[in-house]
Amino acid sequence: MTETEFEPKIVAFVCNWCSYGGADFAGNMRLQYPSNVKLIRVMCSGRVDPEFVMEAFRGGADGVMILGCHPRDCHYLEGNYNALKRYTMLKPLLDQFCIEQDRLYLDWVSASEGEKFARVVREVNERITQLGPLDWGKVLDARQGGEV
Amino acid sequence: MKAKERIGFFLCECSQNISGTVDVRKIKDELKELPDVVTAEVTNLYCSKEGKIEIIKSIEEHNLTKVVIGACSVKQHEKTFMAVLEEAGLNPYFMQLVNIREHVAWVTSDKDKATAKALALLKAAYHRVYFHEAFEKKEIDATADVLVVGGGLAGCEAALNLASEKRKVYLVETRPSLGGQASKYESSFPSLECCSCMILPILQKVVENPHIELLNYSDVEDVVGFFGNFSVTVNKKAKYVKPDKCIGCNECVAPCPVEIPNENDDFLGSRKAIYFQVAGATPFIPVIDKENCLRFKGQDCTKCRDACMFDAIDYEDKDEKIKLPVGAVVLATGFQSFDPSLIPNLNFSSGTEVYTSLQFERLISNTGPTSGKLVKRDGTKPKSLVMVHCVGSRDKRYKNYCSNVCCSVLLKMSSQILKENMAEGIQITHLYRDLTIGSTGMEEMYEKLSDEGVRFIKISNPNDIVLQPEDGKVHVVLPEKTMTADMVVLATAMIPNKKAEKLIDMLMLSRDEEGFVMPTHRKIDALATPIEGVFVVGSAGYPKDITHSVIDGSAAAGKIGSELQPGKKLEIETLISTIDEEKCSGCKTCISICPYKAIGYDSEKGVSVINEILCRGCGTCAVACPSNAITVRHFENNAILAELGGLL
Repeated sequence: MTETEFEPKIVAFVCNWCSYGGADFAGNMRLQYPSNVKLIRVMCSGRVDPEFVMEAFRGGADGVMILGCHPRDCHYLEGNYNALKRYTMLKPLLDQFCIEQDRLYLDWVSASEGEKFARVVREVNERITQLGPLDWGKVLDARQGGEV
Repeated sequence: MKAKERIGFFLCECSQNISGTVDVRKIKDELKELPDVVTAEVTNLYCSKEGKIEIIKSIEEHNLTKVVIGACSVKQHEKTFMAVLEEAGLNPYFMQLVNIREHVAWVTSDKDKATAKALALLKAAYHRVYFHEAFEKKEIDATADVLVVGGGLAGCEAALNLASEKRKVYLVETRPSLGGQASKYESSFPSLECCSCMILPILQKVVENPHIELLNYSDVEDVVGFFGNFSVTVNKKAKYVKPDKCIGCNECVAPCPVEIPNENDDFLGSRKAIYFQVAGATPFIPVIDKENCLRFKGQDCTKCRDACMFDAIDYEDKDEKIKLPVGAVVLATGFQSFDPSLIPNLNFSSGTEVYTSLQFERLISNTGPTSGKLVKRDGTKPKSLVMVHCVGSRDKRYKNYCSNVCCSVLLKMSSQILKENMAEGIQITHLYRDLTIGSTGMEEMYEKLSDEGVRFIKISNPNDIVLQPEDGKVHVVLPEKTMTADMVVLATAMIPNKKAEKLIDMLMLSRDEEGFVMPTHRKIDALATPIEGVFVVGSAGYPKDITHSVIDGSAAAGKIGSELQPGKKLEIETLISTIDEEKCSGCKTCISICPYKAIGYDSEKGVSVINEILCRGCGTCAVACPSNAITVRHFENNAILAELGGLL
């Protein structure tokens, strides 16, 4: 597979109240975005366990997105803040696993932001495509080579 | 590992909306090959009457245990299809709705890619439904009785709208009488209608309502429990006056030798130790203020008892604590004035001719310290009056917000002075930054005042002016010039009632940076709070005028009335979190993270316990739990991970 043909696998965890609705709205507006980004609905971005993110990378995802309600808009008041804290904590740890930090993406998409939903999906897809596949052979080699 | 299931797929064409892009028939054939799948079907419109019947028939015919539906958004039809499963005798949670319309067909023009994506999502759902468990709706007993804290207009309105044959309302007011801040005003804007005439009938209705238990001169000391089942402890402070004997003749007040600043006049005038909150107060029964009464300071004073012709004075009266079971709480604790002495350049202190707007309301009120005569402290009539807007407001150094009401209040007071000719030939000058006079009739009032010679001078920030009180006058120093006024009125910001802070904390409510109670949502759910069953009305939420406070009171009553019906059980959220006691280490991490204070601690067992009435199922506690002891119903780790695995 050449670099241009590479189509990354991207999983997006979306909260039920805002970002799932944002994706719905993108659909209503018939906005086109890459089909390789697939959604998993959770009730709140605060439900996204860092374990889910690591499991996604382990299972073959090249990129993971977490989309929640905007600050102050969380249906559960503070869940998105918890998501932000966990994301902030998890991101630097990815380096230890030789996973580029840019493979994990957090953003806020409201239920009326169909445009934004489609845009961030396109942007993240572009970014992950440029990074190329998450190469676990490389990751393991690097670990064994003591680079970590 | 996986239980033997009989799984059925139902793929909706949504006319051409889905099948125009997603090849549902091709997908159907592929899905049929998956283990445990006994049927995969396609129809034109599953949300139609015929479509629903097809699903029900298929569930019965194939004896399905789990169902995956490929159709539209969960926002549109999850409830629809849950009801279909229920009708077919399946637990409604044995279903996963996959959105192959908004999230696939409508956003992917390439048919092959759309079909592949839809297939991947459906397979993910297939892996997920193995972990779906059955959940039943649950109901709990609840009391429909309500506690209202605060006897201002918002609280009274809530109480009056809630009280009925089947619903008792306990109205707790910390002061001796009802009416709150509105009972201090002589007139109201924009009509200059007599405020007492307007509010007294409302207060009287409260007192006379057999379904309202008025607990005046009382404080809420403790609140425990949850929506439908609160237990409230109220301390009824000793009044030392027997309400069944006192007729409100007022004879006891004058003989009292004590004189202290009167809080009802914002400390402008004075009162006795035995006192009525205000002339014409409701209820019209005095109380003895124990803090200041000579008797309770060890002196043998009996002057009030000697004066009483009805044997109504009872020095032996004691505080009484009572417990009240209620289902909901309405917080109507109101506002107080920002303290202008916090702005050093205003040189605000008592004894000068500078007044806060609340003090000035009392000064021009017939029930105030001068019986409504607009006079300076030396008894002479003022010839000039400067009214300063936005004091302590809209300024990062003090309060950042606009109190909405103050501009209208200053215009009202100006109108009242002129209309009643309270001081012949008085020159009134307003120093303002912007006029916020959105209420009906206020623009006309402003125009009329301008026509009548009231001056409106726009300045950059009223908090920067310098006030220099001197010999019964005040020099008002502006950047460009200095004017001298006989009296100055400061429209101080409305701030949350500080006395309510303890109760707000007790109820575990959040306060915003300015101290106002945070509702669930400032726009679309501005009376409910994150603590279910607790509502905030009037200026406890943010500064409001009488109109909006009264509307709040009625609206909260409506919300409570619809949610908490006498004799009816409360349906509680099904998809909540649960704690595995075996795994819980009792670290309490979940307790601190729960936004609804729904998690408590069982000290005997040493484990955290989720209150299933308060939990709303967000699942953030499950992520925080270091022992993996918390499960979120329908969004369990293994269900989510199965879906994830199916996608990848």
